[in-house]
Amino acid sequence: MFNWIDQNILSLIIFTPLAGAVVGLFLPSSQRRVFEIWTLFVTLLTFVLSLHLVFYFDNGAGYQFAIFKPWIQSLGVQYALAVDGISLWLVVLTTFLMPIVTLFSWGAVGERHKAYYLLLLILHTGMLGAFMAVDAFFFYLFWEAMLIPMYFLIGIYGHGDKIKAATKFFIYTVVGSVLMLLGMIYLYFRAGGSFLLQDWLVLDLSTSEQWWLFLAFTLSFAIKVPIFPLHTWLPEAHTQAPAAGSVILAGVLLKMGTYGLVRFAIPLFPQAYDQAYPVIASLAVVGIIYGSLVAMVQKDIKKLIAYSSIAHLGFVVLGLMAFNEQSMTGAVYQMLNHGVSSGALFLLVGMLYTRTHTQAIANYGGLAKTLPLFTFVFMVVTFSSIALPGTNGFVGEFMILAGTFYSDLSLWAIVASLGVILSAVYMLWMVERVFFGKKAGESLKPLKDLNLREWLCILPLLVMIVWMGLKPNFFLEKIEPAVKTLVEIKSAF
Amino acid sequence: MLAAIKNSIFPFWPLLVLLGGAFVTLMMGLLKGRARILAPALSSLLVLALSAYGFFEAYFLSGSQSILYSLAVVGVGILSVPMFLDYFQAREEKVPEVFSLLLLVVLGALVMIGTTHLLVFIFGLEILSLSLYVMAGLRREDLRSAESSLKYFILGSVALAFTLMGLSFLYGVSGQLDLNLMAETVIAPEFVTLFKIGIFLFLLGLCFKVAAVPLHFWAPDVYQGAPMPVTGLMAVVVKLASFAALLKFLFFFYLWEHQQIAGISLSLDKFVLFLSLASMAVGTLAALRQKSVKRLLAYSGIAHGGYILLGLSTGWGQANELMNTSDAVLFYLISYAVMSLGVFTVLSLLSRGSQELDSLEDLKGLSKKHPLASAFLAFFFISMAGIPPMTGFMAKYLIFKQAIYQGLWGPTIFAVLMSAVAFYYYLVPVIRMYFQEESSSSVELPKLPLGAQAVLVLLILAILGLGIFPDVILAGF
Repeated sequence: MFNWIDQNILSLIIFTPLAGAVVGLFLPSSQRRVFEIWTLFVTLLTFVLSLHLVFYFDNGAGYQFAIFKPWIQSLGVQYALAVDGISLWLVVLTTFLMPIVTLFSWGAVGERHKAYYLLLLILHTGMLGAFMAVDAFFFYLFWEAMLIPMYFLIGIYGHGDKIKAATKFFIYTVVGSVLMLLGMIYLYFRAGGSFLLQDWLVLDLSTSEQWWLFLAFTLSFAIKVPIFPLHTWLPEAHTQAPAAGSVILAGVLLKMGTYGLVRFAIPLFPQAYDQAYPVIASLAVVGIIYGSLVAMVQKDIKKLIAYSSIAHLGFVVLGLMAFNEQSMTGAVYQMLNHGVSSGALFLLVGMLYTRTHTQAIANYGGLAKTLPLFTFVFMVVTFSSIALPGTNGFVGEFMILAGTFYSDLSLWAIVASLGVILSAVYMLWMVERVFFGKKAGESLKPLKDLNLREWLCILPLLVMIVWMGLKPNFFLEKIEPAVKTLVEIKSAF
Repeated sequence: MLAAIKNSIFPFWPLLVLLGGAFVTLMMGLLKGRARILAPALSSLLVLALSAYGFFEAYFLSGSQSILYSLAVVGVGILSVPMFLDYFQAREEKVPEVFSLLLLVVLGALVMIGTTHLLVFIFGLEILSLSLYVMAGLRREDLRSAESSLKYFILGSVALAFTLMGLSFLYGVSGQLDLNLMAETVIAPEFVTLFKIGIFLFLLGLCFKVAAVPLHFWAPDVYQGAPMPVTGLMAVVVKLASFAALLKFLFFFYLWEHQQIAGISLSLDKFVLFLSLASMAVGTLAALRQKSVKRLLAYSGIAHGGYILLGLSTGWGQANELMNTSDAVLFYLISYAVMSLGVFTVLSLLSRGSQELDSLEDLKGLSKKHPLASAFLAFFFISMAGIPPMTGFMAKYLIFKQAIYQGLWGPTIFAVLMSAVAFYYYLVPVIRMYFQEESSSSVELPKLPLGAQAVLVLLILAILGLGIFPDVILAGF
């Protein structure tokens, strides 16, 4: 029994949410509570299953828990799943955030709840699949399939100009990915009819081949990250999405882009990267400064956090471009940190929104008096976001910057560290205006502090912020071997 | 004695059954009451099922591919019965005629798919076309329907004239009407030009039927005016049969090109590639601006035709690549048939009242009024757009793969960018249904009958099945 679970654990994790969605299809749509409990149960079950990965992961390089089975034989597509130190934590991050998102949605979704929870579960499967697939075709399937549930989540349950936001999100992503598909088809023929990543890694691609493929792949991932100047879909999608959608977008979907860079683009086309990295690093730094500056002048809390995401992801990309062990490990770690902290921020803003139905900073003020506990929690998460020592954000950003200093991108690192200061400025200024300072209008008076359900949502995130800040080794020791092999691939050239 | 009869009848079994069935169904107009509606539907179901029985022994079908195409056509016929029944129930007096014509359309399509004899092919084409001209005009109370029928008839006749002209050239030069024999005939050098012109004229007629740009102008108007299920039939069966025929003819003509006198090139692949690029561009860009669902589907059908033509322009050099090409085209057509049939079934069911559900504005807020119908419709549209794991994606993927293998980078990049644009117009109905609130001028919508629901669920399973396990078609034959 245990052996069977151990061998098929990745399939189990991926398809538990999908199976949950299929069962959910037949549950009576009139019973809201049934769906809420069922979805929570399924996501928790998925989380528990994913803990198996954490416990039995041996801290080495290479694929683990791998499953390779023929799938579409005439097309050479394999059902190939595996995790390594990089994808392991992204998988766990996803399974960790989903129950929280579900629990949060209990209070936020009224109408059309059936479709909502089914979409969440389908999206869950899509994200997990994209992180685990090591067959490029299989990966692409999840990568694209993920779009539909997210599109509906923004379009149906969002607010404001949601149609524009949803459509923009969709079209941007799709344009990037269809070109990547062509690149994948080329590599498939080049590898003699295989989509397996391990077959692609040993290909001896010429420099011009690498350049074309690099462009096709990187464009697709850069849109998803997003790297400046391809970021324009992000603020709208994050702002107009329902709170749960924003949490998933910021927490998991953005990491798809950086994950794609680490998993596909960089190791597959090292020579192209060797020539292009100063450009991408520059764009990342521009993104950091630009995102921070724009965040500073936002009038909408959600939009502010959305722009801060552009800046934070800029750090991750910079760390990847510096390409030494320290900066890469930091970048992977920072992906997780950003998932936790920006997820928590969007969650808190969502809680605020359910109370006041406004996201404009100007409508708030002096909340610390009416909502003391909420303010405390928000402060902790803010500290994590601005990378205060002792929180998770500090570890990640420090590693990225330190690693970048020691590479030939040290100048970039200096500019990027300005971004650290800027992030403190815009976040603390926002906190000051919302929670302290003058009292806002009468409409905000009768607010209730965090209830039990909300505590259950936010507490795990707080624990992670502190844990990942104080005991980073537990996480890093699993990431490092995988990163080491990556760096070796590059240095072979 | 019996065996002799059996041996002489059996090769034509599907055609005889369909022909007889069409007449019997027509006679059912004499019945009264509910029997007058139900009996034709049941009889056409029975006839279609019976006709499929003889496929594997019918000699007029050559090759496994034409058997698959024939099965697809008959399958579409069977699955479209609920939509016809439901739509025409409100217009009782026409029910027997509709089903009789449906059987004749299938008959014509089977002849088109099966035969290699050019004259017989024209018979099939005309049986199919004439039945559809009549069907397009069935909504007599609507001026649009009459326009549709007339336009289709006149333009179709002109196209037929070209085809016949081409046919007469081919016959005059080679002295043969059967492609197999024609391929063996050596053409005198002075007639080669005439023969080439004959081929192009002949192909023009088919390009008209598949609505390839620049011969597409009829499609949007005809689609819009015809009754909804008939539009569906045009979109699905006509495309299936015409593309199957096009594939077959191109195969023969390519072969001829390779075997005949050196130094003469037809450049058929360039010709097809041109049609493909033009169809993708015009179909996709025009679809962006439509306000009518049927016109949207007409233009999107033109764009789909472009992808199929892109597939048809590849792989004619080598025999094994030819297999892959025809597999890809077959897969695309079957996928397209399944998805279109789904869309048109839902739209027909929602168009039961006096007014058809055609304006995109009418779709506003449909997801609240009719969650089941909009879920079905959204699923089909998303599959058409080509999102995995639905079969629309797999179909496009196979075409792109073929094109890249042939090194057609430019056209393929163009094609994927067009398919990215296409996402936008397929999302428009979804946006109307799900993201926008109900418009005030909405009409009461009927419930989905159980038979139709079963068909829709079957189509969804087929879409997922083909998309996730394409080997069902690709590896089996």
